[in-house]
Amino acid sequence: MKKFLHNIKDEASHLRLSEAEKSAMRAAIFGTASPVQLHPGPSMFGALFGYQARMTFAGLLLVMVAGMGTASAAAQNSLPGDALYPIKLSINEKVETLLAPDNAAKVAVQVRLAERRVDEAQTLSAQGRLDAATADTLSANFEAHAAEALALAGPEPEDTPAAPQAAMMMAPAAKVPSTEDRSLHGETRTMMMVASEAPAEDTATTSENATDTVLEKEAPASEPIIEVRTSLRATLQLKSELLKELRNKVLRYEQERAEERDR
Amino acid sequence: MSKLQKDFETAFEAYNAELFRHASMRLKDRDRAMELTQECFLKVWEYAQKGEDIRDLRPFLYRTLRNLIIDEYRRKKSVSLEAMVEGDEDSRTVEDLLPSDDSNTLEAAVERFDGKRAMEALQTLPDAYREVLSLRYVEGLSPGEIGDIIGETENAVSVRVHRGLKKLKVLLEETS
Repeated sequence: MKKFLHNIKDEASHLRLSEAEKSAMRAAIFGTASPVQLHPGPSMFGALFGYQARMTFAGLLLVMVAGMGTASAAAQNSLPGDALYPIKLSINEKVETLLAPDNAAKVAVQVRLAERRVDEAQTLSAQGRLDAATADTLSANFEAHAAEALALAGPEPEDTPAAPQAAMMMAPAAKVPSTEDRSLHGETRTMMMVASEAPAEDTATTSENATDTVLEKEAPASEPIIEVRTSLRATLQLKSELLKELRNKVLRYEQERAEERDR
Repeated sequence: MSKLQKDFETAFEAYNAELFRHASMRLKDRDRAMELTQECFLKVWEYAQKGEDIRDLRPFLYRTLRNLIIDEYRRKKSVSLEAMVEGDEDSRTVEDLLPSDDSNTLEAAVERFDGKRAMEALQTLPDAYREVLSLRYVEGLSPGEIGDIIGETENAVSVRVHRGLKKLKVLLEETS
């Protein structure tokens, strides 16, 4: 029994969320970072892991390799303001950084850490716990990791059709020589075996196909696995925008509250 | 991913647009509307994960959103609760007992106006009318469905819709 006032309904159709906003919302609710798709093709990292699976993997890695106690594992999902958050930053993330075997992996780690700051900001914001100071700290940390990622990545990747292009999300595979490629694939496979215990089938069906493809292939240097032609700079820029939006929002509210107090 | 999460993500895809649109119509702040929409889904998702049974998701989402909007109004001291419910007391005036305009006529009258202007006029109405008018005429919910969401009888909803339409028409005709 639908009834509309078409003039108002049409006007109201302008009230909509952008794709980025919807993605961010989805991530904040379900804890799965939806891959930011600026170019066609799945984001391999996001597709394989999703936020929770990444957390699981990182936690497992820390427990297995670094042999640390439950505190650091518990710290993995902590947020700014939580007691364990400093551990997450200074210990867990440091280990993650140190464990990256090659340049491409280092880039991936830096990107992951940068994204993590944005996720934290969004989660805090959804819980009403984001204040200006925290937003600033998270932004600064994001900028640091983003800058490091870009510095390590060097120039933007070119399209090279036949060569192995198993770039992890936003890592320029073109620069990585073939021996490192193999270790990268090896690492990817190991991570996938771990991640397959966690929810690895993620959001879109395209990401499921990507997972299947990678699992099937043995990854010899001559076969291209997945071409991810995502611009690193552009994706980080998008995340940076999201973070800025959150910051501005928080600043506005604090200003409003200050004005109300003065009334 | 569990089946529950898959179902919920489907629900998110299906309903996030209309919930955000509705929140935007009730609140002036677009960012805040976005936050409340997110908060709404988050709350309902957490509720479902606890194993609680949700019979009908769509009205449940709307009810949750509505409560969040009410909380939002309470937080903003500048909006008095009176302004929210003005004109919707149990008191019946003569004009209500003798409805000279039936809804179809009123609707047709309102629809003649430009969408932008009509929307602006709608935003100046007391929130109780804005709520039922947007649920009825933008989201296309029936009076019964609206009653379920706002906790009123179908009849009460129809009356409020009717009064809201009347006010809207008068407002639009005044300023033309």
